Formats: sequence, structure tokens, C-alpha cells
Amino acid sequence: MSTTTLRTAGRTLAVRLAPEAGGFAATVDDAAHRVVLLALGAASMPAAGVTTQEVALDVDGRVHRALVVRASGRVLVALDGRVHVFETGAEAGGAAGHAGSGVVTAPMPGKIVAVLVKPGDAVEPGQPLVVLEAMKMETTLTAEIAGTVAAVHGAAGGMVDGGALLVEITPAG
Amino acid sequence: MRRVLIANRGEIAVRIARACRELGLESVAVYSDADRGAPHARAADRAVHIGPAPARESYLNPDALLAAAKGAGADAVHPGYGFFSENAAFARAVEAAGLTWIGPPPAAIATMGDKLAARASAATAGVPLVPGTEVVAGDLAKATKAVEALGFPVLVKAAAGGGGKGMRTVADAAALPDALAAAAREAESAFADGRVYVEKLLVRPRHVEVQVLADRHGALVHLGERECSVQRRHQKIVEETPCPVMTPALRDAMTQAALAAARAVGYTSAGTVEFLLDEDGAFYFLEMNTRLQVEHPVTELVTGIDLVAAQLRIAIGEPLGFAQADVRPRGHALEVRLYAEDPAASFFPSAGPILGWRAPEGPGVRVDAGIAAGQIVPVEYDPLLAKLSAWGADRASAVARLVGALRDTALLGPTTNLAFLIDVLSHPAFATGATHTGFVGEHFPTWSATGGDPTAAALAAAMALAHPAAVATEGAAAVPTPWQTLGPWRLGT
Repeated sequence: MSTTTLRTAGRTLAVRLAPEAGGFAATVDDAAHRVVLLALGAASMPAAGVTTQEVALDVDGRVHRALVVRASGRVLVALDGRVHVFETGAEAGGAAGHAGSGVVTAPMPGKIVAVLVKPGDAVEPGQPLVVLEAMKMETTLTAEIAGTVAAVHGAAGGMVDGGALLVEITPAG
Repeated sequence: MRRVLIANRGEIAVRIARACRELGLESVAVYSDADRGAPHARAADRAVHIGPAPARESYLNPDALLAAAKGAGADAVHPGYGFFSENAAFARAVEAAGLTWIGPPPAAIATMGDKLAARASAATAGVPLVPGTEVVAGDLAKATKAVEALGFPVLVKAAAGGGGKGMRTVADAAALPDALAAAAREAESAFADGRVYVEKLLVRPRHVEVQVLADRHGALVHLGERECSVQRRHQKIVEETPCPVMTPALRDAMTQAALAAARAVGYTSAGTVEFLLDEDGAFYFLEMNTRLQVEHPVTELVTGIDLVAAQLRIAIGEPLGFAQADVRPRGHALEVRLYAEDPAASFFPSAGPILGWRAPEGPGVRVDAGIAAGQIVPVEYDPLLAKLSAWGADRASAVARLVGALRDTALLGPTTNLAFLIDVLSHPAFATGATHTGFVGEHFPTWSATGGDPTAAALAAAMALAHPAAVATEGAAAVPTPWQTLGPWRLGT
């Protein structure tokens, strides 16, 4: 029996897998599913600390062929042409710049066009924080969580590297 | 011609290297600092480092490219698309260095690269033009009068333009002065050429283009049309052939116009004449792309003609080897462009390491890719990752095949437009062929990466986490395979 806590898009999912004859009795948020592991592909390591492998499952009689990437605190699942991003329970919120964290980083090198918040401001999920220009396109970085702006790094007109820390938010509550 | 330097990167460099190998030519790849270890650098017979990551210091550095060609003993240069492919000065420099330019004559590139010269050349050849006029931004009274004669809305464009730069839509006379000034300024800064002209803006036009191929002995044929109406940011993301609303009479008129435009500039090699097709069936010359087109695979899938091989043969001096009557397109083909970009955030480019990549496969599916897991998608270049195409006996079966292939495609790491492409191909308006250049804006004013099966995804994530990677083996299923029950065994005995 294993229990995994996954967080995605503001939701927390508890996934339980209990081996039984020929497969697993599974629950996802208390909904029961019958799962057969059809194949677990050879793992590759495309980057340090990252493991990638195919996972083929039969879930309630339907076959799903996923490609799964495990990185520190995060699991990415490509399934049916769509990408699902999960944070794992143990490290949720611990990794910089990941979905749902209070750490907002520049997605790529660029120029800060505008900083829309200052330390002490209360922010809600989806609230615009910084406007960044890169590759001739403007993008607005928004808050992923509710909280209070603890720090702002950089000012309008400044150049930043990809991954540079821009805004830190202390989670509410 | 024995050894071809490929002055490009990514999927098109891989594509050209393959074509060279098939013709018994050696190939030389070039790579920047950002592309060390990139698949294109190991696709050719030789690989030469040409400089730092910024394109101006590598793929757009003529001295570095010519030095690489000389150093590697190349006797020809294939420019691919983008970068220097439509740069007449570079083409002349290649020829001046005693190398073969795998492309059209530099003079044809120069004429078609200047939108006003291109319009004049096409008009002389009897090719219909979008009603339009050159205007002088400084003489506002005269410009306003000329534009009013066309009727609003209009499109202001840079004479030297491309890629949407210096382009402005103007709804009425009041907005004209600012638009002219801004377009001229943008054109001056982007192309060092502030000339602008104004075209009547067609409502819901289709983008339809004709592939032409000409040898150096006077043979000139067309390979039918492609429709590339589904665009974002003035760049195509879905291309298909034939055009869903094409009729034999329209195809005849449009392909004859394309051949006339090509003939007027003494064209050789592969080229594409682009038209706007109005809702009333009238079509107008837009521009000629004097190079291999990104979307050339769909034409190859229906005609069976290898366009890159044809370019190489033409450059060698061989005759085309077939006539117009030998070109008999069969079935339907579509291509989508897989981009590292976020369709939920104005198609903003994405970058970073590719952590997982699974290409689709199967009958009638074609993958043109230059990526690998572990590779970092650089921020310096166009974010095209791969082109995924499918052929079918008819449009519906080709679409179904491509959607199936896309659902089987996986790319993890940078954000991509994969799910968006599936949604576009699955849209009822796409199924009926009701495409036009405003398709994305009309049907997808907003889009978010929702949908799919989060429960199955969560189970897959949990299953991977529950199985340490070190013991994971192919086929480690609940039912043991003979390989797992056989005990120790040795290879080669």
C-alpha cells in the first residue's frame, strides 16, 4: 500500500495504490479505480536529478500511455497530448519557481517592462505582478498563491536572466 | 558539388543533411555555443563551431559561415529557411567565394525581397495584386487621399518588411497618420528602410500559396497549392494541401499566376508564391518566398517529390527530370508546427531543457524534428521544435490521423502548443474547412491548458513515484515475462 499526495492547480489529490491480484486497487480522492500496470519503461536521466520514463496503465478498462518526468518536488505527466503538472506532497512549495509556489522567477532572459506590486502588498492568485519582455513579446507574470509580497527584485527597465528571482510572496494564513 | 555546408540549425538542418546523404553528397553542419550537442550538429558528416549563441555572431555572421565552409572544404551552401535564406547579399558573397548557392539567383531574391519591387514585377507579369499604393509618410494629405481611394480598413506595411514587422491595421482615416509614422519608424529601425505602402485589408481571406520548382535549363513547374490560413502572430501553425475550397478552375488560374511571377524574375530552385484568397474567390499576389518553405513536407507527402533533393540536383545543374503532367498529387496532407510557446499566454515563447520527448509514429505520419531529451531549447532562436505531418486519402482521414499522432506525442520541459494544436484540429470550423487568417482570433480568443484526464495522469504519477527508477525495466508488468523468470542468461552464446 502506498499513498502519494499530489498538488495540481490549487487542488490536493490523495492517491492510494494497494496491490491486489493482477494489479492495484486504487483511490484518487476516495474515488475507487482498478489499475493494471501494463508497462514501466526504462528510466532515462535527461538532466541532473531528473528521471523520465514511460508508464502505461489500464485504468478501469481503458489504456493510458503516459510519459512521466520526476524532478525534485515535481512530477510532469504527458498524457494524450496534454501536460499535467503535480507537486509532490513532501516537498510541495519547497522548490523555487514551481507551480503554486510563492517564488516568482523570470521564465527566460528579458527586460522588465513594469513592476506592479511592492513589498507589503496583499496579492490574490492570478494577480499581475511583473510585466516582462523577451523575444519581442510581452508577458505578465501573475501570483500563483494568495499572500503578502515579501520582496521585489528588479525594477522597470532592468534586464534579468532566465530563472532570476523577481517576487517573493509569503503565503496567506 | 561534393560537400554542402548547411547554414542553419534545428529540424531543417537535419532534413538537409539527410537529403545530402541520400544523394551521395557530404554535409557540414554549423553550430553556435547554444547548440553544442544539438541533434543537427551530429546529423551531418562534419560539424563546425561558428561562434557565440546570439544569431548575429553565429548563424547570421557571414564571415563565420564562409570561414566554416572554407575550413571544411565545402563547395556549396544550403541556407535552409529563415536566417540568410532570403538575403541576396549573402547569396552573392557565397558565389563570390567560389561556392554554389543552393537557391535562386541573388537578383531574384533581391527583387522579391523588396515588397514594392515584387509588386511591380508581379504586376508586369499580369499577376493580380491586392489593391494598394506606395505612400510617403511625410506627405500626409496625399497619403490620405490615396488611401481613401482604396477604402478602409487598410494594412500599412514596410516595403522591406517580413514577419509582421512594421505592419499596422488601420480602421479609419483618423488613425492613419499615427499608423504611417509608427510603421515607417519601425521599418527604419528593423530594416534600415523606412518606405511603407498601404494595402486594402481583405476580410477573412485565406492564405493560399503555390510551390514552384525551376531548373537552370528553363524548366518551370508548380507542385500545387498549400493553405496556411491558421496563424498566430502572423506566423503559420497549421498547413495543408490541397486547399479545402480549391476548384480546378481556381487552381489553374492561381498556379498559372504563380508560374508567371516566378518566370518574371528568372527563378530557379524551389520557391513559393503566396496569395490571399478572398471570400468571393478572387485571389491576390502577396509575396514570393525565395527559399525552401517550412511547410514543404505536405507538398512532398502528396506529390512524392523530394523538394530538398530537387534543390540539390538543380544546384548541381541537373535538369528537373519531369514535366508538369508528371506531377500528380494524391490524397491530403497536413502539417502542424510544434512550438515552445504558451498558447495560454499570448503564445509567449518558452525555453529550457527538454526533459521528455516522444515522437509519434505510424503509417502516413511524418516527423521533422531537431530535438532530443536533455537538450536545452535556446532563447536565442525561433522556438520551433518539430513539424508533425500526416497524409490521408482524404482530408478527414488525414486530420484524424494527425490528431491521433499528436495525442501520442509527448514533450515535457518547455511549455508547448501541442494541446492547442489538437484543439484547433478538433474544432468544428476546422473540420468543415472554414479557415481564414483570423481563425485563431475568432475561435480561440482565449485558451487554457485544461482538459485531458487528470485522474489517469495522477495515477501514472503515483505509479512512477511508487517504483524506484533503478529497478524499472521495460515490460515490468504485473504479469512477469519470460525474461524476468528465466534467471541469469548471457548474450552471444
